[in-house]
Amino acid sequence: MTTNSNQSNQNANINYNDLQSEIRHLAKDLLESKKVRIVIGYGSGPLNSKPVPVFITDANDVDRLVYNEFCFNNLSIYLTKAEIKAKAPWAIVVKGCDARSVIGLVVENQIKRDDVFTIGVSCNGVKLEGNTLSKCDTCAVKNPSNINVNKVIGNIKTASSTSASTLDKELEQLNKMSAEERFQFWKNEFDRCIRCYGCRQICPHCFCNNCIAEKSAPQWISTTPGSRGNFAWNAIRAFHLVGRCVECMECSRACPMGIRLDLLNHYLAQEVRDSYNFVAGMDLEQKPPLTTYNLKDNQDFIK
Amino acid sequence: MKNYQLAAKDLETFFERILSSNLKLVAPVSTTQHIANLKSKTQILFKEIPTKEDIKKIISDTYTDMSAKEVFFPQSEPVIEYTHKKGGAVDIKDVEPTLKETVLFGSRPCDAFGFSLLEKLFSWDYDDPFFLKRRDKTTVISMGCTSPLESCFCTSVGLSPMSNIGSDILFTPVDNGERYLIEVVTPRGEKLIETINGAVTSTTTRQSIFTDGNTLVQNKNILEGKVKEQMKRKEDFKDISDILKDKFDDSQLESETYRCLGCGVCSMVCPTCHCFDIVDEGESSHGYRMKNWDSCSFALFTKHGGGHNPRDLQFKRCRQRYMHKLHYYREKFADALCVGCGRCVRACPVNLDIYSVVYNLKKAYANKKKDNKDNDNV
Repeated sequence: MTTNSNQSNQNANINYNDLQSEIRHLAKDLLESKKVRIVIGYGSGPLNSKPVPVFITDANDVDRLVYNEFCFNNLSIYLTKAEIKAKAPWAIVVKGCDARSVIGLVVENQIKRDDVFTIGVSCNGVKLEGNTLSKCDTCAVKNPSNINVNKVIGNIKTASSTSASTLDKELEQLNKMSAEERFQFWKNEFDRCIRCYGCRQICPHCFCNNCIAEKSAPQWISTTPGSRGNFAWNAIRAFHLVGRCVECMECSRACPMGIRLDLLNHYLAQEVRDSYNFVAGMDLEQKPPLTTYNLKDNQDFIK
Repeated sequence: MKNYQLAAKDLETFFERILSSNLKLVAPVSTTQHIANLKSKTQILFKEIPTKEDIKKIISDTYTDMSAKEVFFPQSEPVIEYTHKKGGAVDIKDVEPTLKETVLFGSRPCDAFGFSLLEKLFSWDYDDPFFLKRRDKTTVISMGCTSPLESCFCTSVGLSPMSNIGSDILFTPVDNGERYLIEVVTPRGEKLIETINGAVTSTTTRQSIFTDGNTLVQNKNILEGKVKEQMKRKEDFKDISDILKDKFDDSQLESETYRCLGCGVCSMVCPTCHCFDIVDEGESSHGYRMKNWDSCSFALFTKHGGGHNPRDLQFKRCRQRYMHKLHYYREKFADALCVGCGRCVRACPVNLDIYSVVYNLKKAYANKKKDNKDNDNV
């Protein structure tokens, strides 16, 4: 008991200044030695408690990098942007959850592992508007040393919570509903969608050059905000992300209408775990189950 | 125009009278859906208040996640209805917007100024009947701000947290929120006050809930000064138009907007963004031509049929948004197309902040001017 409480105390008192200066130091080395051309990290934002993504190309600018408990953005999204892709090799500051996205991008051949130097920061949960994000409740990668990163910064002992997370409890509620109730829940959620595509634009795994929502010959999804097109858009995006989503929950954070995409992502991840014993973004050697085909596939669950 | 006062406890009666006068009432409410203990996230949005029972849900003094522009310019609306007939003939009908006399309550002074900017645009080279008819049928009651948010910057664009441009009536909570000063700004506003106080039938009249408000004007002026003082973001946006004109190809504008991811959140929550897309919805035999909100942040916005995109990179799209708001619109209509509500600042997933972009551009420009001057002196 004593050890546990000491440990959690130690976790709670992360020294962000130390983490920050280590990140700066490493970034300077990487840029000076020309190992990378750009460092993608967090910088201080115009409003307190809201850091912003910054792109450092000059070793003299590394002091612009900051790190604190509000660094919620998953910066790996930038690795999929044409402007950044042209500037490989990159270094990127990642929390454990973000590192899973980088792995996902490598597994799906969007970037080469050797092109990216991941600076993996130990993290005990990030805060948005004062509250720790719910995704952090059961995080298994607080210390990213157990997944593939180039350099681990900070030293948190990963102590995965054993109690059910808020999301797990909510998922249980969802599964208890009748099909009609569940449909109504999602319909009400998607009805609010204003089709700003914030979910897609912030998602590292929504990397299609031509999104199905933008195809017009033929048009697969009605672009008009309203029940029909909204349901189709949100459902199709969910289908496309099954087994690929790493639950960074950035789509849920970006959504200006507060649609429960976090719950949807968690549901999908649970299905994939139960059906295929697969967790996305943990292993460079494992392809997402729905993108592979194998004669030895165990398909018992379909029968 | 006249000033009245209303005791805060009589605000519900005020809403009841709006409904009993057969007017449609739109006001901010908190929207959380609960199904079997499952909660969606809470948002504050403008919604119709259909019955007296719903009045309790109104949050009279609040900041909404979406602006109230959709009262006049909905996210989506049909403009033409088409029907294919046998023999190849097509029947095409204009869709008339459905209109009811409406009271919009609880918009902020910044939102209301936004309506006046949109009105200029929608009555510029072509009178847009959809917007203009709705505006004509709506009485806008704004609520002056006594505690602006960290991201607010209305004074930067020449407004005040209690300015009345674009409103028909302005409420300001005074005396620690015990009463409202009601400033009637337009004849439409005066008409509403008369309706609310007026006869229910030819034989029964209602007791007035308003008293003279002139005594409260002084209190408001003092409060207004205090609130303006509290606001942290005060950089004047006046010169930015000329600076942007010079800076179009400047690398600073690129670096300031480099993190933009190209979603349309900023445009959707903006009270003044007004670009729309035209699409056809329906089957081949029958359907509608729709007018839907669009955003210059989308890559598809300027993508040509042949595949070329003149705004091929995201920073160019973001630059367009700033140029349009702060320079092009100003050249044409004298005002900037930004009201300082700060919604885009709060909603942006990568914390792009129009205020700080302007601030940084102005600072760099001032430094450059100073450098040039120093060089001249040498």
